[in-house]
Amino acid sequence: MGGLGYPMLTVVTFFPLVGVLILLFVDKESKKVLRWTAFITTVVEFLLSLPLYFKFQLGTHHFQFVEKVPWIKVLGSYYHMGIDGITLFLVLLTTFLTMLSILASWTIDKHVKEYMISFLLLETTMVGVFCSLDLLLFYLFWEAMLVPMYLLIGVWGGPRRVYAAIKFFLYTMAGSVLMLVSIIYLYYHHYKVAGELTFNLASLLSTPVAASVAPWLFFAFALAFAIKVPMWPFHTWLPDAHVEAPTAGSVILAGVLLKMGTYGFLRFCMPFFPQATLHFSYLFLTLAVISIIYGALVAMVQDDVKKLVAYSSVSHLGTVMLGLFALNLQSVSGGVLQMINHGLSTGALFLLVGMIYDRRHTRLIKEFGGIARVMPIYATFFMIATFSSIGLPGLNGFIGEFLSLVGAFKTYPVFAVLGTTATVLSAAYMLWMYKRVFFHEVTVEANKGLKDLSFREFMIMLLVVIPMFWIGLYPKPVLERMEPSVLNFISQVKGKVSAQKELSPQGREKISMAAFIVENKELR
Amino acid sequence: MTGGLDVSIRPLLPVIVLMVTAVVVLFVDVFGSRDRESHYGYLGVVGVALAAWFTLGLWDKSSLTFAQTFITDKLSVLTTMIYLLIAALTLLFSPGYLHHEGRNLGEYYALVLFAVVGLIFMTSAQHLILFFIGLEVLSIALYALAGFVRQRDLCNEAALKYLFLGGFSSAILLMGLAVIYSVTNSLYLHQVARYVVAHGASATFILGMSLVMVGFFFKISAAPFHAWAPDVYGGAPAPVAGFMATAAKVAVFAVILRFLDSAVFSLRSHWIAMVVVVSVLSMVIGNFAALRQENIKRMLAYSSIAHAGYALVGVAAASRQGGAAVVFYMLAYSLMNLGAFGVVALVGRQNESYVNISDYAGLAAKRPVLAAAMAICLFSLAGIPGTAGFMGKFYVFAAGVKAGQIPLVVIAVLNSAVAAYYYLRVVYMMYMEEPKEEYQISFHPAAVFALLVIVVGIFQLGIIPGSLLSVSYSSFALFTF
Repeated sequence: MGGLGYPMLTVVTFFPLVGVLILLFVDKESKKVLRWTAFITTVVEFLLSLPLYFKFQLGTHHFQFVEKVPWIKVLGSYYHMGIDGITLFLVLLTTFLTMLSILASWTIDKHVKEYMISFLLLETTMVGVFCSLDLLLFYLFWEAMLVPMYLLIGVWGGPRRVYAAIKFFLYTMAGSVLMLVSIIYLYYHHYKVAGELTFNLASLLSTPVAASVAPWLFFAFALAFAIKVPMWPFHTWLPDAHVEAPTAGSVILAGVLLKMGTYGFLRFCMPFFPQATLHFSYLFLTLAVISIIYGALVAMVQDDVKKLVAYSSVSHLGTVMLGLFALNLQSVSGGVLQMINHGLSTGALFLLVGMIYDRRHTRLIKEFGGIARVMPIYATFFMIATFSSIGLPGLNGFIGEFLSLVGAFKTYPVFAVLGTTATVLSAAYMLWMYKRVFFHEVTVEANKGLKDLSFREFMIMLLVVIPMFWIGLYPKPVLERMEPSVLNFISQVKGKVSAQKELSPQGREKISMAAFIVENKELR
Repeated sequence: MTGGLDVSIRPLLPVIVLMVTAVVVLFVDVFGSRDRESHYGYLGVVGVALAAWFTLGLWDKSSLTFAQTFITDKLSVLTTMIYLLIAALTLLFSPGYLHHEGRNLGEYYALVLFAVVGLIFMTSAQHLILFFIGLEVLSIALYALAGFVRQRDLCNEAALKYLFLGGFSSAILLMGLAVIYSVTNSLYLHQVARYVVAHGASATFILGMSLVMVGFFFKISAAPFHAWAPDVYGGAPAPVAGFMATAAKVAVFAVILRFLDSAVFSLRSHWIAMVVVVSVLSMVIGNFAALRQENIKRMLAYSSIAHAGYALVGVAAASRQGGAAVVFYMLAYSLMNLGAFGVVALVGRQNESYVNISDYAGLAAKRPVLAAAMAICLFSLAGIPGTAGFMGKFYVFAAGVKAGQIPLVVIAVLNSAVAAYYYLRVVYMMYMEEPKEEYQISFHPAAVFALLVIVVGIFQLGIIPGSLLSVSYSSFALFTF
């Protein structure tokens, strides 16, 4: 079990359900009580997840805080939880963003009770996805997550919310059912080879599948995760879902749910089928680069800020995929870090877009202009989030993007060069949008009386900006926790030999070089 | 080889209890006072509970009695328990509904209990004629139940259609039995099996077997023998439709498993192909037709066709695990389908005036508990993890993969993604549309209790299914050679 002597992951996963239980007994008209109950639940939840960071043991890729109890004995399925250096941060990101999302949902006035319940249920399933080490358990959380998200988009979303919600649900479900078949196949394959019925991740990983079936299984997994990421051409659900979802829904969707796709590649798809991964890596690198460039170009022509941010997600997640498939220490570390960064920066952008939408009930760029004059604090925060998103040195986005591109350059220079266009393009569309929204004179009458951030909004933004600077200036605590797990991932895919090479003095030098550059920026 | 007539009352106790209860209900109806009509349901439930108690006592006492025609094994005990659960839930849903329709009569409850007697005989039959008699007992009760609200045209139409097509399919089944008998000179399952193993399968025998299978497929409303189901389920009173869609299906599936295992297992290369084709057709036709339904009862009818298709995946696996999975699936399916029809009965109100999907607009705002129960049943039907529906599907599909039926399983999972759409449409109506009218739904406490049982059951089977999976596995000692 480790840690603090209580089942920490179970507590972190299921604590939101305590909040749900309390909410059930609160009168649905007392909205204030409902909001505060949900908020306090998520704050406690976040505080409960912090010890995971402090008690996390460095220097090992083994899963920590492991809990293992029989769940369905006939099937050999266990309630098996554990985190490593990668999921640690994804869990923290989830609890952190959920807390901010609840705070950002103060303006929700319709069916507050149901809203808060859905959100807390969503939190449980999200944390569960990252902690599960049993494939059946993982699938349970993975698929169950659809229900609260479907309701959040469909009930509290924008005008075309129903279409968006159903599209989101069906896309994700269609992808994941094939993954289920693949999981079942692995399960029986392991049974045939090892004579043991189990869904245990480690056991299943130890039984390689025949080269003739591996590509099929690989693509069944890859499809489920590629839809979630989303990679071009499976991205079409994303703009709809993002635009129609309520602010907090978008934050969670971009911040956490998309990460489940890349996490799935990292934890399941690639380690399970190393040969297939290497064999098809060019396909996925190509798709990643297409996603990067396509997402950025489409973002450039959007006239709706939220849609712009949504398409920028496609582009950023392309960078993550590029990093993962380039398969070396820097690129994967960068990819994983970029997952966290994208959660923070895009989460922040969606929060900011939500704040202006609450005031003006529009998100069209042409409706704004000169906002910096009326809302200076807002403009500042928006600036920071923009810089974080486009990867300005000193902020978190830089480290992730830089590492993944440098890493990718080592193995696939052409793809890396193409991927680098993302940094240019993202600067272009973000700054152009920023200019049109915030600079010049206030042209629209309705914008003249806009109030700057309230205390609540200010607190949200302050909280989200802190980790941006922290990771941007001092990424070492994050990177050093991640490193053993990343190396383990690479060795799972590329075999032990090449992973050793990564650890050779030369390899170490390279990552410390990255750290060096980063530290220099800090000094500057 | 018929042996002496070994009469043993013990295995028949559940049946006797049910019949006595039914007769008592009839007598109370005739001689009791009118204002006690709501008590028939409770009386029936007491009888069902007593029968369940006797059934449980048979769990470890396998026997073959009445000239080896009546088998009591774990499969028959488990399926009997499922029938009794279905019957109890139906009896709880019915009083409020019938009261509204002004048809709260004793014979309704008696007919439900008689139907269960037929069901028990079907699954306990080791001789195909006993099975056929059980089927007819069931069918006649169901014909009467389907048309029970006789002032309603749709109801009469449903009863008549069911009578004609039911009679038609029974005739095909009987024809098949006759052909089999003409070849093997016996209708004992084990003697048929012995004949097939010894002599191989002649073309005539295959014909007989195919006719019997077609009869079975009719009864489980599998495509392409499904055409009656939407009209019958759509027209029959909602609680009856729920009962028909679940109880009869569970029983016929159990019979299919018994027949395929005990009589014609050696011909599995023939019937697996047949089952696979019917399974695919049922899933595809059921799901795609359900997408277009406006009437929720017809939608559930098409969805039940699709569910028959999913369950047939487990049959096609032709393994012990496949059989166990089918039994478990049937339990899960019964719970969620009964729940859905139960809500339909409540929302439908007098004369079932509100049975379109659009009538559910805004239900969540006005009747949150009812809407939540419906949503849980629908998510379970869609196979979302955490619910009984997921575990059922998972277990069936796992058996399919293990048996190497991977293309079939892939078709099945893709179908379940399609199916999510029409279940979600109802959820969307309930949660995302504004209410168009006041919902004057009167809650009958018995119906609320039944819904509660169903919701708890759905979560129990979905989250901690372990013990019931083991029970269904140990109940299924067939397909073991």
